[in-house]
Amino acid sequence: MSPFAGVQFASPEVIQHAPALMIAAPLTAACVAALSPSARWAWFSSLGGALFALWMALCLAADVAQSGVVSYAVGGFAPPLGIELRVDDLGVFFSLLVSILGVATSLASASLLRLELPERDHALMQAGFMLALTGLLGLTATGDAFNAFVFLEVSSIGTYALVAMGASRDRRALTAAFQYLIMGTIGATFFVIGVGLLYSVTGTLNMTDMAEKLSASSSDRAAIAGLVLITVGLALKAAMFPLHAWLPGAYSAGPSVVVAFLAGTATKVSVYLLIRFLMDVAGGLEGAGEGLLNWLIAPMAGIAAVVASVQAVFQTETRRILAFSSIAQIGYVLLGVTSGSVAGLTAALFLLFAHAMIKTVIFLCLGAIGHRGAQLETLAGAGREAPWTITALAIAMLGLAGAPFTAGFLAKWRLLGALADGGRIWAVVAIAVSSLTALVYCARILETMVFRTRRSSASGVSEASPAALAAIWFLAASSVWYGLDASALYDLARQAAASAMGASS
Amino acid sequence: MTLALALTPYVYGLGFFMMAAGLLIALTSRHLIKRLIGLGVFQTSAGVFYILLSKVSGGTAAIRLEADSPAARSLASRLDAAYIATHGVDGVVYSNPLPHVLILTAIVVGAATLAVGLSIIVRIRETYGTVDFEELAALEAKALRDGREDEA
Repeated sequence: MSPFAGVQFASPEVIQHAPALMIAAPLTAACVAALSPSARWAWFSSLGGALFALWMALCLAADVAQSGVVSYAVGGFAPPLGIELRVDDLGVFFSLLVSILGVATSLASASLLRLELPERDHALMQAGFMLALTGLLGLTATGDAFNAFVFLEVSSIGTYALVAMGASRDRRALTAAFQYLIMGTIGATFFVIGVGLLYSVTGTLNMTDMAEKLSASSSDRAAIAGLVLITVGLALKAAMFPLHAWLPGAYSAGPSVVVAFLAGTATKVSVYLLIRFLMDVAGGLEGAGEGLLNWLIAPMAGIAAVVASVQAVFQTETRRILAFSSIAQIGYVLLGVTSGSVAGLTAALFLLFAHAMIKTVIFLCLGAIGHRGAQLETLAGAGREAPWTITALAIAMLGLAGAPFTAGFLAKWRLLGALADGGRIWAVVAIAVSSLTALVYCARILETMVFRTRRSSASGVSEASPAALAAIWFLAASSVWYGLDASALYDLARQAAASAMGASS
Repeated sequence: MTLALALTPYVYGLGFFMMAAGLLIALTSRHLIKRLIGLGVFQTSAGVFYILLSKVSGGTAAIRLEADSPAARSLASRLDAAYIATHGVDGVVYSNPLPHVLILTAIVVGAATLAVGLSIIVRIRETYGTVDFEELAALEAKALRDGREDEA
């Protein structure tokens, strides 16, 4: 039973247009923010856009719980000819994730930006942030393959500019953004060539229609080639091992608020698209999707889980440790996605949600204490200067390590259980080894910040602002709540998984 | 016409050659602007591929022609009657306009990417004084070593 069943968040006239409004709200907010006279107005506009998008996502969740699939014909052109926004259980799961994190980061953004960027950049930065939110929400809602490319690029181009804005804190942001731009665009172009090949086989761009036509045609080489290109393109965007080279640089040098949002959403939405294409669109293509999942993605995910965790241990910069940990976590999620069972996919989605919240908290905390040094050592004794912020960060780090009573623990436990039931012992071993390695770096970060005493040369650390603390503690408390009582989130994840697997069988 | 038909299979080859060449330049060139150029070639190759998909043999641009206009008649005269009977609308065959529209969108996306990329390069030049990939890598490695010593 969905927790949203029977709830009505708005009048039917509004709900009817919720898919389009969810995307239009942040887009409008982006324009307003770019034109605002002051940083404060830009912040209000971004917060308004994010809150409106969250409201619409909640409306959609209730609507999907009631009627199954919500289809919206953009501009009144009926699908499959017109562009369709199509939201099902899987899509709405990601809409909620993206919009919740959008609101949280937007709430914290004003005070974090004040610490890192010159005042004149704030309005443009909020505009870029809203564009990225538009693209990501669009991806979760669209039912059209080419439209997905456009939204992918709307979010990515916004993100490239946002990462480059970190140059006033760390000049490496420029080269990191450039590398991200090259890799991201190559990924997107692979995706678009793949979509072209699928179009040449099926003659349609609508994902549902494409799935039907692909299952009617026997396994076609052009279709399989298209699927492989799409997989590679999305793997680049999702930072799947070994295509993750852009991620540590972008995460370590970008502005904190941008990284907090990206770490929670951008790679996750790419995973969503992978699930959508490989399980849903290619579901009927005589095992092509399954073949890619089992023989390409699963081994790479296993390697990512182990290798990235080990690499994280050897990093000396706080953000780089966390970036490599993100690559490992994407590995765990993909191992769950490839498990081939509803239980495995449910656990993967649950872990993805929990990890997104946890990583956002961590990066928001790192930004909110106003710390300028990159090295972990310079954070020694930060816990004494900013107890509230560092407590939230410690809770999130425990969740990242998978300590009991956190959502991170529960998610990992269920994932291991599902993988063991499916007979994937090698995957269980990979996650276990990776988690044990993760304990090393999580313990190191906690030890440095909480137990070490501060040295005189350390740069200033201060408590986060009230708005930032509200956002941080909301997410940190939810991650603990879902560790104690996971039923609501778990139900959502299970329905999302069932809708993805149901379409593929 | 016959020459064009004979070359048809190879035109796809040209598209995929552009793809490979663009990818190679984008990933291996030392000069950052050359990397962007490579990226542009790579994106254009996707465009070439889409346009090739849209071509219908003997088809014209998808602008509606009156069936008995001279232009329509001259087009129809180049096709055999059986083909028109099965495929033609009003005796004229059109190419598929949808990929053209899609690629128009992709070109806009590509232009936006190029603009962002070039402006990042300008900032890199201002900050580091070079746009050479290896020199940048060396500068960053040095900054990383210095940073560690400063902060230690």
